[in-house]
Amino acid sequence: MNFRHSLISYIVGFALSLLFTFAAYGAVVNQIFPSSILISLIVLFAAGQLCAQLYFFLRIGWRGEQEWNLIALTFAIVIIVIVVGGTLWIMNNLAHNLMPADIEAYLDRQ
Amino acid sequence: MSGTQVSIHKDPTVFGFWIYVLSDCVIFASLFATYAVLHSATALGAGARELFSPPFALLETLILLTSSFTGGLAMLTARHERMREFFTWSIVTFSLGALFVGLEINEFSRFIAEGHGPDSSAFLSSFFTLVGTHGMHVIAGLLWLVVLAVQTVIWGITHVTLRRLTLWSIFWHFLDIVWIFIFTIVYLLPMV
Repeated sequence: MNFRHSLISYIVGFALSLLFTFAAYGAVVNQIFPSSILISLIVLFAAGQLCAQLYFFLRIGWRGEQEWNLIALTFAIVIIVIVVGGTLWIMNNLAHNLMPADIEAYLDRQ
Repeated sequence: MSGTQVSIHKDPTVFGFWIYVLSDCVIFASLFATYAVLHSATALGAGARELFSPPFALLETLILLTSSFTGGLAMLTARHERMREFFTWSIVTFSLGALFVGLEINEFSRFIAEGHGPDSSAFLSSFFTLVGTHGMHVIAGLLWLVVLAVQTVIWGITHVTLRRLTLWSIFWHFLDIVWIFIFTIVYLLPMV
């Protein structure tokens, strides 16, 4: 692996990560957009920084020799989506169906 | 065990370690899910908005991100056997990582001293568990780096020490990736 090529890869990854970090921070601290858009925006920035670091730091990509790394990563993402999404769905369902009415009313007022 | 010398990219040990790192991601994912479920269970006490400071979180983020970058440089210089640069970048990476841990311990101590310890609410229990687990991983990574640096001094860059450094750098990058989500979901989201 070429030294200069790798060095450039790390520098670009670092620069992109800094960009995403400051963009998310700036957007939140200055309240540039209304809440709902802001939430999606910073989650998108996080996903963007994740991809940048995966590609430029960890060298996970479509290049031939790393195929299996990408396949394993995809599998892990599937598991994570099921675990996190499923947890949120179930817990929200339980809270909605089993919460005493007076407690729910109190929490809604928070 | 010396066996055949495989190129780092095709080394099964490296792939096996990557699979371990992915399983660690699943652990963090479940800690995130728990935090998401419990983040408003503040037991009438302080919540995220009251406790967390975005500038402080930004500082921690920049420190860890830079250490991930310099860790990559340490890896790169080791691979090309530029020994003096390798040790320099290793020391820089370690210092940044130690600074990050110091700041985090400081934040935890402050919360506990002010009565916002992990025992005061479900929100704080899940916060301390999620962020604390990440911090423990960082501490482990720092200890590992010291051990690898010593091994490199003793044996130089061999197939084995280079492979161990490769595994370490994967681990270190993964820690910054997890932190991206801690920064976004724990520290930024409540301020929206």
